[in-house]
Amino acid sequence: MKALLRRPSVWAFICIVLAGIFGPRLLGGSPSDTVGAPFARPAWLGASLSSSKTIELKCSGDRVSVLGAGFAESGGPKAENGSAEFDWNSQPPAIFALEGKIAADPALTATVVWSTPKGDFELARLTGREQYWLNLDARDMMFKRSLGLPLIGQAVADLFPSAGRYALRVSGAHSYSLKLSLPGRRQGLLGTDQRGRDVFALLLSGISTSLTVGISATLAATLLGLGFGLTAGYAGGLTDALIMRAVDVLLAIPTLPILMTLAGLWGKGLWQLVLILSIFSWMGTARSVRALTLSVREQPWVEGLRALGAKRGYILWRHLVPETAPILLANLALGVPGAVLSEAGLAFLGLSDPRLISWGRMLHEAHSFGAFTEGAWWLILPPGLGIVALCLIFMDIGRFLEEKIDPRLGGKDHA
Amino acid sequence: MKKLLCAALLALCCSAAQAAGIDFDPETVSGPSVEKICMVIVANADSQVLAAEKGEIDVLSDIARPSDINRLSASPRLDMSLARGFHAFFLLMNNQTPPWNDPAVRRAAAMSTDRNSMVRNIYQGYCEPINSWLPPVSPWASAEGTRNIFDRAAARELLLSAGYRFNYAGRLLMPDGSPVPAVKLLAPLARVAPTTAEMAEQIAASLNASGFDVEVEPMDFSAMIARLDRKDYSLAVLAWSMGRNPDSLYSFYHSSMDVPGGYNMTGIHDASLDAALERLRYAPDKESAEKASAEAQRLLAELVPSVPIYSRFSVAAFSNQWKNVISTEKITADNMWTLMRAVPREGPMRPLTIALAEEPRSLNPFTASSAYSWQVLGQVYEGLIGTSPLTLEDMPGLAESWKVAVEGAGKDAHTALTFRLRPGLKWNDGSPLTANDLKATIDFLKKNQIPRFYDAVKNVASAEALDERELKVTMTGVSYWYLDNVAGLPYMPERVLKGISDWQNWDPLGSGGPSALVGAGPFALEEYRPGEYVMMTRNPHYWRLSLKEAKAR
Amino acid sequence: MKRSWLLRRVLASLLVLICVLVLNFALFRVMPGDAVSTIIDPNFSPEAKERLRALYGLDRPMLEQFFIYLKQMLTFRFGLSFLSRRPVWDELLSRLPGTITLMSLSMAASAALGIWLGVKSAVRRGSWIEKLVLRAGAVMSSFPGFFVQLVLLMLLARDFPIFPLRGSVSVPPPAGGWALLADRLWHLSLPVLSLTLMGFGGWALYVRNLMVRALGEDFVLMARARGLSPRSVVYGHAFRTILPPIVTILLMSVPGLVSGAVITETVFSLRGVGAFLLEALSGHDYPAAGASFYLLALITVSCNLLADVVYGLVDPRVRIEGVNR
Repeated sequence: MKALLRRPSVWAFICIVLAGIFGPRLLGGSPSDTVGAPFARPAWLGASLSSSKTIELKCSGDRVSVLGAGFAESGGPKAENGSAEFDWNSQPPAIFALEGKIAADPALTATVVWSTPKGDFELARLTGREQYWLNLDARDMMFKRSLGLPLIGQAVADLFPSAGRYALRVSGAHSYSLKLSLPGRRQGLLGTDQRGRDVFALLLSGISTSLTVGISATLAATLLGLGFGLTAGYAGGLTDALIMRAVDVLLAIPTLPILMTLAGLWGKGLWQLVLILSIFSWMGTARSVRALTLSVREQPWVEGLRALGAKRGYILWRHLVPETAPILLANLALGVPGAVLSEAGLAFLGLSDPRLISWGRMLHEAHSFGAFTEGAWWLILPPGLGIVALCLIFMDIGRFLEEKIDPRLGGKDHA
Repeated sequence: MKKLLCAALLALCCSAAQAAGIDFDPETVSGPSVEKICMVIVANADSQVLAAEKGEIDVLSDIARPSDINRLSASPRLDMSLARGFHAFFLLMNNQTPPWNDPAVRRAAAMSTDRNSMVRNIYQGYCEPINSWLPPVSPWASAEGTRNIFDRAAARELLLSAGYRFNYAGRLLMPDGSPVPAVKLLAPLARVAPTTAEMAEQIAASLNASGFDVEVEPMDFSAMIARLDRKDYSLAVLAWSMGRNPDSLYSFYHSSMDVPGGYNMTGIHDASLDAALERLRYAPDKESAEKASAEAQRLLAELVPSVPIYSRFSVAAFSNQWKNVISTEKITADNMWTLMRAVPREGPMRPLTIALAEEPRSLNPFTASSAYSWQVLGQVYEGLIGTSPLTLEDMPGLAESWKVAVEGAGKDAHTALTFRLRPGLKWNDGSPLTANDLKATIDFLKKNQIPRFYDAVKNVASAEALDERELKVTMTGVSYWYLDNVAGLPYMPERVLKGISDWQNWDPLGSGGPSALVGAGPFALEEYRPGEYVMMTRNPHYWRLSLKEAKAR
Repeated sequence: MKRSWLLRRVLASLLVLICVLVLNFALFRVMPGDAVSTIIDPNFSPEAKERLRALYGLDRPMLEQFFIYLKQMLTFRFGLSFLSRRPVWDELLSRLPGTITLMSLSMAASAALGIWLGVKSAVRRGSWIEKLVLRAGAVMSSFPGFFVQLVLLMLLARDFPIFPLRGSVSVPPPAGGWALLADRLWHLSLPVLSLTLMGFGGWALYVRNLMVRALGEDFVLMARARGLSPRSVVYGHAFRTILPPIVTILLMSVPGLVSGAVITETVFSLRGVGAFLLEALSGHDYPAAGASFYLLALITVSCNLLADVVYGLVDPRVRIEGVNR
């Protein structure tokens, strides 16, 4: 036990479990919240890219107030000539979203103008009502059309043509409250995915799913294998033959196609997936347990127990099961990587529950939504490496347990 | 929350052609100018984008992912074109179970979905929010179809005036005081449609913000269809491709189609809607069809059996190493007219490379069902009537003129179609094309009850060749839509049809080589290498080649 | 003794095959929906769909469909595919060469690499080679397959365009035998490379364990004591002992190859049995999917049988089947 705790992989495992349990709570919010622009890079990369900024422009009567967030100390927006003015020196942001309300005299025309170093854009021309609600976004087709910008491609680049002074101005209205959101191209610790969700938050919440599926599927498979193996080995005869034939049949069925079909039949969901994965992984354990039972069954001490009148159940439970414990533990640890990879494979094919965040699912979404083409490595490497890390940890633990059982496989002390 | 922007989009459907800087008249264009087309099979979306960027393929159609669209638009080698498509995404409601059996609730649901936000968040703006049961690009679609009806306050008013209440938590209450039942929204699995699942989540969130209690339930596509068929659902999302003609509304919303296997999945039974749809389906001529179509769409907007959400724009990328590429607001650059006129910007003529997303498994026109097979076959065969790229209305194809008339009276009234072929038409093997061939094709399809064309020919009473160039088709019953049904068949020579003994197992490539696919279209099949590419070559006898072009190239 | 044992094994295999056949049939019919029901096209009225269903033979009672299915499986005449209306056997046959080439090349490469590394690391216990092999093998087999393939595709086909993006031949294919062969090999390089990278780890670990056990046996000690050269001890004696398990594993890994082919062929746009199976499953193409399943089961069962026979030939203890009751 002590030796186990000394291995670095066990410590890594404990860290991951703790991160999985407490991480999402510490981060706050839900991992499915949109925090920024799609495919934003990690914030610590690419200083020339823009980070997220917002500007709030308010006016009531004569007083115009401007509030900026995300700007450097000196570069924040200022209220000048009734507009919000600021300097912009980095690359264009990913999104340009303006929303808020404007109150004006219905007889007059209120306009919202965006001025850039290379010219002005009239974002809105409002007349005929007392109150207007604005919800403009540079991604909308109508927005692009009304400004004469090309319909395909990012209009934001045209709204931020170069470094220089920019201003947002409202004229002809007596009061307004607007918010200009400029989510940047870099965001968060590990960037964002195609929907603008924080990858780090997704990664942390994926820990519990991947671990749950991996461990429970393997646990269920091991228990099934234990049960069938013991029965087959101890009872022998017809039962043994039947169980072994069932094992052969299940092994003869190609795994991936059957998993796909069953996932389609029984629906998605965490526990259905666990069930399906466990049904197709108990065979190896059953065979090992059966072999062990066969050899132990004939041992003198077992015969002795039988002679003393011990019931079958007692012999199985109190004596045979502990004999199999080392094999089971090793198989458990070695089986988890298989389950985690199978889940990743199924999720990659799109067969897992889309509402459940798992690392396999993250890879599937990365693949489906073009992360590879975008070169969005922050969407691909973290979950991929996470899966690798989990597998390595369990393989290490499993190898350690295996060495305990069969010392010849051990380290340098053994020839 | 009122939004300002609405009428601007109407400009999209009313403006004139923007053929990329070239004037062209589809009726007199001569071509094809492209000598060979190579359709390369690239199954992987990432590979398609990379191949387009590297210049390995010239044309990439129907680009779905917004990140790909943005990326390709930045490429210096490619020109992008955008057009409205025939795709539409609907929220289906089971009109026979509460709360959706009340039209007021359905209308409120339609007003509670924030389509603009959804399109913006999931598609980065490359879809059009719609409120129309026909694709907005169709000339038959009502102009109201692109109006933004999202208005949560008005939805709330509507529900209140219909007798519903809201409890302290904002949850909707039925008129009798019980809370509105918690319902499940069925959505197809992400593998089949990756963005559909996300869309479903957003729709559910939108509805929940208005007091409903909706939860998304993803399931296998065929399992979902089975449940829709049995009406064992409350809400579901489904997308499909529609055609240009409005008579498809009959299949979706007429009460007689509420049968197992039928398409009336919402289960709506409304007498006035039924009457309008019947007038539409059996309209004797274009004017009455237009009136019935407008009426049917007006009723649909009132009854709201299903909620249209958005229609995807069709985006294509075309290599700028080719000039004379034609794209309009109704069709993207990867269309037949470009094939008529495109030439390489520099250098000699070379094959135009088009990407095919899947292998066309079968090239037997009688049994081929995949869209990819028909992308190939569609170049080999030509119909009697063509479609204008500028207005999507009918224009002469193989037939230079046609007539739709109603003969007989009362119970015996039936539509008679007469087509007059152009002079001097030939098949792609050089043999003359006569009305007899057309008659033979119609008879063959009808006699063998070929499933794919069954609906098109089941109402044909008889087809006769009045002379070499005139075909008369007499139908049973009256309907203006028989015109398109009959005009769009894949016409083949009588000689070829006589040689087909077993249409189910006919392998056009095996028996006679690619030359067994004889049609009157612009291209003929030259070679099909399964899994790799399809090579097509220009049909030297194509009728457009002999047209004198009105304007210079 | 030998004949009755062989007979029992063959009978057992047949039983397994029959179970698989029934399961195969039931699974597809139990799944809701068929190739026709998922068509949502206003140009396809319910009547037209009924005719399509009749064309596919889906309107006959279940029992009749089952007997037709059995007859087809046993005579290897799999009928026509729903999606393409061409004989399934022809379709499979046209796709087999591609898959077989890909899979046998990758299996050979990963086995060869893995065995070589496994033996090396078992012989040099405690050295950096052993540690490297163990670590590398463990790490590589923990990567999800599609992940490695996609990364390789992006790196070696886009960023540094050494290899082609897709397909098994260039368009248009080069003329001439040698040029064509070279072109095909060039297109196969990335898929084979990715599969080898992922496969060698398992082989290396397994062979290492086997060799370690074998080298610890008494007869090896005896051979060393007799003064035989280390090379002869390792390859002539120890390695020969572990050949049977290696052959067994080789044979048993064959069925898994086709499952692995599904993803590989999709990523690299290759035309093979794996992609065929995927299309058949998603399209409810019963004849094609049923035939593919059946073939896979046939291959699995025969490989298992073959593995047992080979093992029995080499190790007589197995034939006498363990403990007598």
